[in-house]
Amino acid sequence: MNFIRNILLVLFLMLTLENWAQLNSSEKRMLKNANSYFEHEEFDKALPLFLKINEVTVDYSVKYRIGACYLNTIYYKLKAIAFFEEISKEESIEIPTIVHYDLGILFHYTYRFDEAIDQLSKFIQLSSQNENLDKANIANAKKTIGYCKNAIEITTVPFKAEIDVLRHPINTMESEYCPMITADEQTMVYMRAVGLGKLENPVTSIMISHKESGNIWGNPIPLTLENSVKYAKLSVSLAGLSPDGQTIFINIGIGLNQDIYSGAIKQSKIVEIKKLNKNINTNFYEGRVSISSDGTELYFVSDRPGGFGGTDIYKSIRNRRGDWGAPINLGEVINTQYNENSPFKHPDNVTIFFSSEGHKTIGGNDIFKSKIENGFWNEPENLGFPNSTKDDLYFALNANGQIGYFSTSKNNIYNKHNIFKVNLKDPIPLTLVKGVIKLGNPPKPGKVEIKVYDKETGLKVKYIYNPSPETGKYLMIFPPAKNYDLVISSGEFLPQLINVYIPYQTYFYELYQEILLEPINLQNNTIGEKITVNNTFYDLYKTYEADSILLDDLPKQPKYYDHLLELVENIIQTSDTMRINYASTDNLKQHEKNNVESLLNLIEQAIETSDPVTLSILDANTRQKDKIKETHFYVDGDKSKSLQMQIIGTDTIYTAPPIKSMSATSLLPASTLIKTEKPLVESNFKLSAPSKRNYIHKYVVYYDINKDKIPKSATKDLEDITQIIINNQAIGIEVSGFTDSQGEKRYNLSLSRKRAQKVLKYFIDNNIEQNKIIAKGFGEAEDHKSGNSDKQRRVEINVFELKQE
Amino acid sequence: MLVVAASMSKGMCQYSEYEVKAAYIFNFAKFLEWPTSKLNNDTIILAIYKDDPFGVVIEKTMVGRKANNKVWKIVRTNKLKDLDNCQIAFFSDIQKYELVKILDHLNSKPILTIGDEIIDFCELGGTINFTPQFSEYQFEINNEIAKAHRIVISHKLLLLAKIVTNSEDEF
Repeated sequence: MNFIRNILLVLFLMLTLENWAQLNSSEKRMLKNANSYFEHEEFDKALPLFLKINEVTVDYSVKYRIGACYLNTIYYKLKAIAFFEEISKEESIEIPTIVHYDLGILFHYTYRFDEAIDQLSKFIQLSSQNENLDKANIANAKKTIGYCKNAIEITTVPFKAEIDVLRHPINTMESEYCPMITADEQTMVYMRAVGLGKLENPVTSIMISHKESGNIWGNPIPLTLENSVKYAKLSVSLAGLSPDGQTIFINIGIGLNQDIYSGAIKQSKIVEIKKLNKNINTNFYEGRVSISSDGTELYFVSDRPGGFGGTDIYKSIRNRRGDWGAPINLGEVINTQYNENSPFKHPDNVTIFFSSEGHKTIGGNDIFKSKIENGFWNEPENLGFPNSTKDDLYFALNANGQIGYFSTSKNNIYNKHNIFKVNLKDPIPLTLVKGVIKLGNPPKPGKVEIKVYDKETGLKVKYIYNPSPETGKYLMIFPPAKNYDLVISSGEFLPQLINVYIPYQTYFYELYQEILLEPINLQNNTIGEKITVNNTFYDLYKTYEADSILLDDLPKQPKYYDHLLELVENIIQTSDTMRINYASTDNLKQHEKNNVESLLNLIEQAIETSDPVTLSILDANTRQKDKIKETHFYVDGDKSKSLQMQIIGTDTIYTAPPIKSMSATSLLPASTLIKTEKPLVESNFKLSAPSKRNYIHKYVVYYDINKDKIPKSATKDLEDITQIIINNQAIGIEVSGFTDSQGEKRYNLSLSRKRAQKVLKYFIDNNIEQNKIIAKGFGEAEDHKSGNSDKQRRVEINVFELKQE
Repeated sequence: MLVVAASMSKGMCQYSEYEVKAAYIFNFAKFLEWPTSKLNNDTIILAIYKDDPFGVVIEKTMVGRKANNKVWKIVRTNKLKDLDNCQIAFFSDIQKYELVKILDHLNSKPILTIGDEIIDFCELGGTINFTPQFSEYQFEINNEIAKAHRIVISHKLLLLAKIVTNSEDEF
């Protein structure tokens, strides 16, 4: 709102100076000075003098001038209200028309909407009689009356949401604004301006904070740009953050010519800074950015020509080459003749939040919401509750649609922003998959690519997820009741196909996934690989079901129940008060410690009092880890032969045999939740057809003439083979004994059997099931007959995997 | 019950599976006695054999706290002989044949063996086994095996467990 108007020219002749006589000479001098300052627009010097005079006399012209001085300050405009209000109530005097205007604007600011409408209407009425028509102010007065009417309508609707200001260390005495969060609400980036109202050029920085245990934001640190010297003369501010936190967007430029750059966050640095292409960046202003959770759509703000006025919101779609295509204006339903700003596309992929000075605002920028239906945006709806008569900007919502963040200068006379959190209590049914993938032995993060296919439609989700090579972390968001295939590719391993079923749900839940890919080595050869998928559900609503299951038993054991309630309440209280008394890292550690302490005590008490109900409830409320482990042995020991053809939609891909991830189990009724182990291989290895045997490794033991004892040199290798068989249900061995061509055939047959049997005995002694070993003596070896008889005296051990139907 | 439902649904104090299991192990130590010779110093050594499902959770639970005045030491190992020095040996993901070999090796040594939802763990000679979620009991105990290891388990703990006995149809 702009108060810098030519208020000085208003004359005060109608105001009587009847109290002039009451002033002593020094006071008269003071008043004279004050008026002189006032007329020279030195309001900061005039104000203290007027205030002193106001203490000793009642003079409406002085009161008016105090109000006018306040109105010309930056941060104390609202203090004018009391003075203007007083003179406006005095019927004996005639006040300048403009006071009605000023008062109306100030009333609107302070939510006194009815009074604002009165004053502004009076202003319009009086000034239209005036020949010097004050067009700009009349237009603004009409607009503000509109805001007030909107506000009366919007603010009278009760809302269920809770709004809290974030505490230290996020908000400080300085200005914090533009919060952006990852979809899992674990990381927040925002802007901090230091010295607002004190320094001529406040220092701004981009801050980052991570959630620490106990759901508390940790100490924020500033993010600095790699090669920051390059941008030293330019302004740098935060523009956006991808839902998975892997990409940060920043605005870099001079004045209103800002451009959008992307980068990655590496500890406290923004690295790999790249300017977005020319479809996005023009010579005009390009500002805030929001990227859809699947990475295919980019929403951004620009004031380029061809829009509807002010800044508008545009959308660009990632093209086949992975770059941003020509942008489309979101259209007149979203964009108005005023400014639209800070778009935020929710991970549900149908809702957009943005701020606007147009639409049905209650003043300044308000936050609006619109959904896409049948390809069209519906009429934006004022979010109501967080919006104030001042600028409300930068709304961001977590993936479950419950927790939002925004900043506002509301309740802050210094025009400094603070970051607020709003709990909407209205979750959106989505599944958030937070995962980590590690490779090798021991497993470490590495370069991996995850492609996602929608199994029902057969369509490839366009986004390719690249887990961070530093941490191996990735984040995916899926709508419910869908079957997905994840294809995981990394250089050294077979591409893996993991099927994930996201069950039908009417609420939000999180899935923590851990994928480990490890090679299986035998005697310096990699003969296969092991993939482990750990799924842990953090199902926020399952607890209701669990409670109702337990409720049936409760009346029988009221004593236990009371006891439990008390204990659980204690836990809750500990954690809740800790949450409220935000604080230093020490306290956070204390908080975590208290949580462990509560759990230890809960169990100890339950054992001490032999209380099974507590343990059952604890059990029902525990997040479970769901583990799938598969081992793929290379066919004939050859990695390249081990791929299977998979047809997904129109794509044909080659991967290791698919893995079913049992994601749905946690949502099944309790009775079916008994963990089942993979069915043991019942098949008889001995009777299996050779075509069912996938030979993965061959080892040969050589013997001295006429010996059947296993040579010592072979022991280490046999141990390794034993370990592989022990660790893998589907592995069997063929043990074939041979002799050289010397001596009698009958004797040789018997010797070859003895050799095979000694090896057989070795394995049985080492806990290998006899069923898995096919031992046979073949007598004289058919090969090397004319050559090296040392190679004929041998036992061949062929390790095979029994293929399953 | 509303208290629990409302607050749990906020996700404020829902524990993860292995936080709970770590807390159980901590408390097991409080409710059983090793033969004095085994505990001649002030430390309980918990050995996690091969597969480690806990991660940092186990340290967060154990380190810095005392059970019956003994401090905890966590050892992760792939070697059978490392188990000889511990008071508690924990097994999560293990093949039956390897398990049988290990339990046989530990036979009658004063070591508490704990299985993580391992089918037939107690039948095969393990002492305490966690059961899957929503089971009637949260853990099962083979007290005969405990006695063979010269470990005395408190009746309070036994009251909360499914009691498993050595297979009777053995002959």
